[in-house]
Amino acid sequence: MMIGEKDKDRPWLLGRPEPRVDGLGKVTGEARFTDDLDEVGQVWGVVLRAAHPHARIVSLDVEEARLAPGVVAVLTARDIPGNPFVGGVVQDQPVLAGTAGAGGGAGHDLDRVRMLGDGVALVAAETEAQARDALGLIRVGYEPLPVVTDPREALRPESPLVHDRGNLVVHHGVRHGDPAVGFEYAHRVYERAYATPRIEHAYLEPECVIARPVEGGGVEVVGSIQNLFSTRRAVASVLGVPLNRVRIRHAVLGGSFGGKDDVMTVMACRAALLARATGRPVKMVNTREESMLESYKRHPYFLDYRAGVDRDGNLCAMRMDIVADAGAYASMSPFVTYRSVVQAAGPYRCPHVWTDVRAAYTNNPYTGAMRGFGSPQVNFAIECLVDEIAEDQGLDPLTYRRRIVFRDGDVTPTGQRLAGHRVSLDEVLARIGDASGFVDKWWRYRAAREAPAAFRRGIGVACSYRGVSLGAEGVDAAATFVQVQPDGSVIVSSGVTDMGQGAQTAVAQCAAEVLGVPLDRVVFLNTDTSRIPDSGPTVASRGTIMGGSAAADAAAQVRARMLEVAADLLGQPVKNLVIREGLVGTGGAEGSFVPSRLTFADLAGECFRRGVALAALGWFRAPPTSWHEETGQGIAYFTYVYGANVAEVVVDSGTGRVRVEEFWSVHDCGRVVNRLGAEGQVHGGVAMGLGYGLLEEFEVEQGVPKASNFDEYLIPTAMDVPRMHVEFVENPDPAGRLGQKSLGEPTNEIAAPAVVNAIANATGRRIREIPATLEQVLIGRRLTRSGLRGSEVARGGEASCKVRGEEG
Amino acid sequence: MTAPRFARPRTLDEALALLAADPEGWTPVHGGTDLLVRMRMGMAAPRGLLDLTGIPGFGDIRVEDGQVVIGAGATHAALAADERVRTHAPALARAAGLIGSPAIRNRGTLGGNLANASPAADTVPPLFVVGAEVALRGPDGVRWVPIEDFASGPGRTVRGATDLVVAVRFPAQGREVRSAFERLGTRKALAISKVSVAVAARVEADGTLREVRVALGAVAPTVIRARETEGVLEGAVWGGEVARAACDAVRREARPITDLRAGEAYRREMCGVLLERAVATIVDGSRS
Ligand SMILES: Cc1cc2nc3c(=O)[nH]c(=O)nc-3n(C[C@H](O)[C@H](O)[C@H](O)COP(=O)(O)OP(=O)(O)OC[C@H]3O[C@@H](n4cnc5c(N)ncnc54)[C@H](O)[C@@H]3O)c2cc1C
Repeated sequence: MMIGEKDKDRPWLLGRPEPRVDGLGKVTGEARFTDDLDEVGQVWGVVLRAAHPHARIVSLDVEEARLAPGVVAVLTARDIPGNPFVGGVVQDQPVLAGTAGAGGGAGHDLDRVRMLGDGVALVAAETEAQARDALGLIRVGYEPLPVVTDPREALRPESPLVHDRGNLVVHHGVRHGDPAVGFEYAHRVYERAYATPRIEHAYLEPECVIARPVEGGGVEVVGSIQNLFSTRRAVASVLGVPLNRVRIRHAVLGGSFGGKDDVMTVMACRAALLARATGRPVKMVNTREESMLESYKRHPYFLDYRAGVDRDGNLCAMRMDIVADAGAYASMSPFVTYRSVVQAAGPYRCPHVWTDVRAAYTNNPYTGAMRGFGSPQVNFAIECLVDEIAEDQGLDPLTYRRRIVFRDGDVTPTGQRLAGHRVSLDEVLARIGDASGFVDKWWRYRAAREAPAAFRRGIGVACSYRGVSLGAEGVDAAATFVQVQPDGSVIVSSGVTDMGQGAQTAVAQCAAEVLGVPLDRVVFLNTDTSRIPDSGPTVASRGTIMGGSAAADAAAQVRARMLEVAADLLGQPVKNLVIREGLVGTGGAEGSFVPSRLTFADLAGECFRRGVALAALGWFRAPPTSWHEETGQGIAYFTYVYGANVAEVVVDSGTGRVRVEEFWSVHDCGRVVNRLGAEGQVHGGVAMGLGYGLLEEFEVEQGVPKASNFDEYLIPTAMDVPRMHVEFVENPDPAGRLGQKSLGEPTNEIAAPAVVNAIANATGRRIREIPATLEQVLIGRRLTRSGLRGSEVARGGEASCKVRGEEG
Repeated sequence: MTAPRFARPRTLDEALALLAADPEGWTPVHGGTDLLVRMRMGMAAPRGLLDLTGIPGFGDIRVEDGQVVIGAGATHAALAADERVRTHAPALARAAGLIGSPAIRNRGTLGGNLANASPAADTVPPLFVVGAEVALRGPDGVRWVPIEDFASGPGRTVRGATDLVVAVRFPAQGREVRSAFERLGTRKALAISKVSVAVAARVEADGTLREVRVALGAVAPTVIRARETEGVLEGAVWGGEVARAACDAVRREARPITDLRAGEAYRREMCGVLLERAVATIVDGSRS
């Protein structure tokens, strides 16, 4: 049975601020993270990592380590029974690099390390200390190779090759209209170069797994794993066993933000190898330093934007050339850059748009999925550019945006007509403008720029549209299993994982909504790859729409069977019956509800006695998408969400310090499933976005990271987070079974440009390279970086530095 | 890697006796907020930890004989809240209140901050400008060392292997001589200073500055006095030319380096900005 319009229009439980179901356990310490678990007879696994960012391995001697106290096994690439390479899109990442002859795939030789985080050997020992001591006994002979660290240099023909098949990971193009024609109409042309930093996910919990050998050559792995099915695929391939011999589960996850994907896959493969080799459970836990060194980051981008504006102030042509640093391995780069190429021009009408996005291999830490997934970079560029154009047009940036944003029926640069849902960006901008008093403040702060002041105020806006879920990147379907117990309690398990983002609450709430039971009657089980169908990765803000829609589907199946029985018990036709708050009753079209004496629990008991199937597997397949590789035209995503951010800042003219005082977020994420969860997403997303805009950069020099822990890699603290105002514009979307869409990433993708635009409003100076550190704000560049990004020659901090004090 | 042995003496004498018997074998630890971090990073490997938290009264704050005397075990939280410190050395109270985070301020101590001898230690510039002395106690008794002589380089002090830092003192000068502290970090909390400036001065009725002392943190291998700057300010009235000359002087006197936290030129520039703000705080305060 499909959910009727009735369900969508009058939710009784959706939208309520239900406390998260895992909240109490987390604050009391009852929640068990992977590192809280131990197996009887377990050994510790550790990794010997590369000593050079790029080198050929000429010799590898592990004999002495094998004999060290407590050591149970030492493994190298030679000991991998199956495919030694992993990779979600391109299988180019060795589980362990080895010496020549250890195997290898087409164009990806195994006898090379390509970044400092690469693993060369594994040691399992009785204790962690013994395992780490033994690492020092492994002798590796390296022949250093030239290092390439700037992705733009990596694409030049003379560049050293990181992979033999070439340094180009992927090239996406969008060809919409003809900019050559469009620029002819341009009254003004803007050419701007932007750059965004490599950043660290900074999840609280470092990577951790426990692998246990099981009969039949397989393994069971439990870990802090975001995408269990991707990990399962890799572990099975590395061990050379079928998927059903590998069972992956996750414990409570301490954050992920897109970060516990490939790095966990590699760790799980290594632990699985050790478990098979030793016949014992193996635990691996990264220290924070190992985590920062090995884990992938958000891609640094170099963005060249060219935009033409006609006499009426409309965008008439755009040409964008973007290069992303993929680091040593492809990871999610092909998909991350896909989102970038689709959304690069922002949510603005423009008839002629050509965009090129390339990702290049370098010897930097590899880059992959991170909350936003290719959008924060392009949003930063386009939102700064549009802001600048607005000011040039003599308009405030909010009013200007409202003139040019997409509305119902507009066509995106990929040729997709936005239809079937409300294109609400204008509404969103209007709401945020009113809530923040934007227009008035913007003009006032701008006028105040004329006079000298020690502290200056500024207000800035940014907005975005974002394709929901995976889009034409890949297969998009998910499963949720709903079981009603004979006492009316409910167990929900889903292929969507909870890593702290609240998926379990949201998915459980969708099931509870449809079943008609209070949320506290529902228990959500952690994902287990052997007990639920492959539901794809929990990425792309797809948990609530995919897992939640599948939950609604499963719950509707069970409910339909239960209502048959209720009809019999109450002598009412099924169509009159409604279940709500755990009570069965009758309801009318206007949402009225008259409970009967029959409770949901009693009904469940009766169904059980009658042998009715009280469990169902729900399945949700996303509506179709399409993509033409050559032209970049097609239905890139099946629907979109819309959002806007406004930041109000105070800039210290003397020091360049920026204080974000107030922050507004307005999002149309379709129907809000859980208001508390939704607000939490916004708070967290904005805090991360502010770090991106103002503080964070994972600096790497010649392949060597400069920071290894949170004393040097600074993310915002609670003290840096402003007062937040969160509002939702709710336009239920037919794409989601209950009208819901996505929120996790939209909250994170436009905070940086909102702040940087606010700084421009305060100071009159446009920053085109983030983070906007104190030095960047005060003098327009950073002195701490001895080189510019990548491998460009150092300019040095001791060069002339013209800064002004109070009068600046 | 073996775990260090551990002792938690109940009296200062007991602590000193242990240290005297085996100076290489014991490393004092109080809050542990510096030492434990260094141990984890492999920069310190003590054979024994001499925990000073069990010594009664080790963190007491007293005023006696016209001196404010602060026990080495006083936490930053205690310094920031203490009325006597706030009265006689407002710069010190302010600096202590800005250190780290609440958790760090509740554990970290004045003695630890001094003994650790970081050029960015926030309590040190204020202690410079109030003319503090540090009490070192060893087997032969107590000696008082002027704060300016205490640190000899990054992480190095004149403390002998059998000495403990037991107290710090400075004149209880009341509100007559005022002091102010400014610092600049990358974020609002939990950030090591890129630059810090402390200033003390007496402001006469006509605005003339007397007994000016200026100290700079994080711009040299140790905290330094900015004597040329003091010379510009001494006997002058704050404002216009004087302010410009003082800022020029302080920028000249700073000897910063470029590191992950800030560039050399930026640090130098900020000495001027923070100096202006610190002096302005003192001058404005004298009017109210
Ligand atoms: C997250 C974090 C943030 C921080 N932020 C700041 C900041 O903003 N500003 C700042 O200045 N510092 C900061 N610190 C550094 C540290 O907190 C301070 O230096 C603190 O005052 C150290 O005191 P402690 O008692 O913890 O010292 P400990 O770590 O116990 O000791 C430090 C050193 O001093 C020695 N020592 C301690 N007490 C004595 C004694 N009585 N006699 C002789 N030797 C002794 C120890 O042997 C050791 O070498 C921060 C540290 C952390 C971890």
